[in-house]
Amino acid sequence: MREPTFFVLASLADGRKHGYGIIKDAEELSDGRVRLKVGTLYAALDRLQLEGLVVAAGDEIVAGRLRRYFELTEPGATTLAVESERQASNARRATDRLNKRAARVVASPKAATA
Amino acid sequence: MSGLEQTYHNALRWYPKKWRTANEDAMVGTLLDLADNDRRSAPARGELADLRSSGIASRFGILARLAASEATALASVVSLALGSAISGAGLVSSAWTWQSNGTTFHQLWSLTPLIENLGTGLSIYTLWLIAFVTAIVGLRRVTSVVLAISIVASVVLFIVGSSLPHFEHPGGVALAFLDVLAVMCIAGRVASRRRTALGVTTILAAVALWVTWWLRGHLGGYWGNGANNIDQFWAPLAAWLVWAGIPTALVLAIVFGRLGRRALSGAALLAAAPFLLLGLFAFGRSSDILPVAATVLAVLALAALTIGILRLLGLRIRVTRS
Repeated sequence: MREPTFFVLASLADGRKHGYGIIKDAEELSDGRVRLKVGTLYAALDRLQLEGLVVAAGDEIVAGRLRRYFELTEPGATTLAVESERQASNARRATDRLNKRAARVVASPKAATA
Repeated sequence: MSGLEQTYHNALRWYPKKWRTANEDAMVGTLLDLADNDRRSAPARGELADLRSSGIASRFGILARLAASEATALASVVSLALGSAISGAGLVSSAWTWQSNGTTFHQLWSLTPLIENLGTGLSIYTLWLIAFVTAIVGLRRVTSVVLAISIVASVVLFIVGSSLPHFEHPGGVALAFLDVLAVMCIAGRVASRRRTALGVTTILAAVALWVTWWLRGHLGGYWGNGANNIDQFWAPLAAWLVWAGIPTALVLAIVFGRLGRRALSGAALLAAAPFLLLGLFAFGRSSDILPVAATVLAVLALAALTIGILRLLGLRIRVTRS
């Protein structure tokens, strides 16, 4: 799963949001690394709707502007959970390896750099 | 409407009309919310380029979804069945011809498009049969690869044959026809769960070929005489398919359409398309009324296909008086 898609799903995990809300939330969740462009966001939402992971959840007019809300479906929540676990698992393994490396460096600095 | 809002609406024209109808207002709302947040009165850097590229991608996304549709998958099954039946007939007839030259089986030679004295076209038939076997056993990707190789092989065969005067090779129309079938198979991605349909359709196609051959032997005039035709194979088969196969396909398409079976309806139309082109080429040199009819049919089919693709892309041709 590509990172923007992951953050779109993650943004919708705590409730429905409109386009602008998803963009700001994804930016916040990624510590400012991911700022979705509007075209990219709606292309992702279009694809996620086709895959049944996201659904439109109502329109509202605010200050003369249409706001369309989206929410996560159950399959969407499951997909996000699986992807989150996969990333967490990868992170745990990488951390384990780094810890072993650190221990080796402490025990034998020359061997670690060889 | 502000200038910025109008700019965004203009940029969204890159999207298909159907998509704009559903999403334009919501998208412009999001773009304006972002502009307010950034205190901008003009599009952000790269924003319009993103809308353009996303719009174009959306148009091609429709084509991609069409390629992945049920109708295309079914048409690919029919194409593979036809190509395999033709290839099987080619290999069988060549084996019989070599063993018993001059027997009635020799006539079967005239049914198949790629056999010449050197038999170079047999390589194409062999590749098609390998593709058929791999599809039947469920190796869908291998099938696509083998068919892609057959396309490359046919191009090489044609180029080499055209440049060497004494090198006999199959005609360009014959090769192009099988290549069109191969492209349809690859584009439609023959699904491994359609193996029964593939087997049944191949048997039906083989029977249709045999009937064509039998009719050719028993009917005189245009059917039995290849003098006006560019190829002994194409005239009887193309005549049969243009006059019997294509109307049947159109009737099936209408019946399936009325029954709400849009996939089957689309598959019938798609499967008939290569034969319209074949009819155009096969009758192109005849002085009969057939070339006119075949040309009209082919032009109508191409026009319908072009308009269909343009509509899918969200483009419309508007004629205005100046």
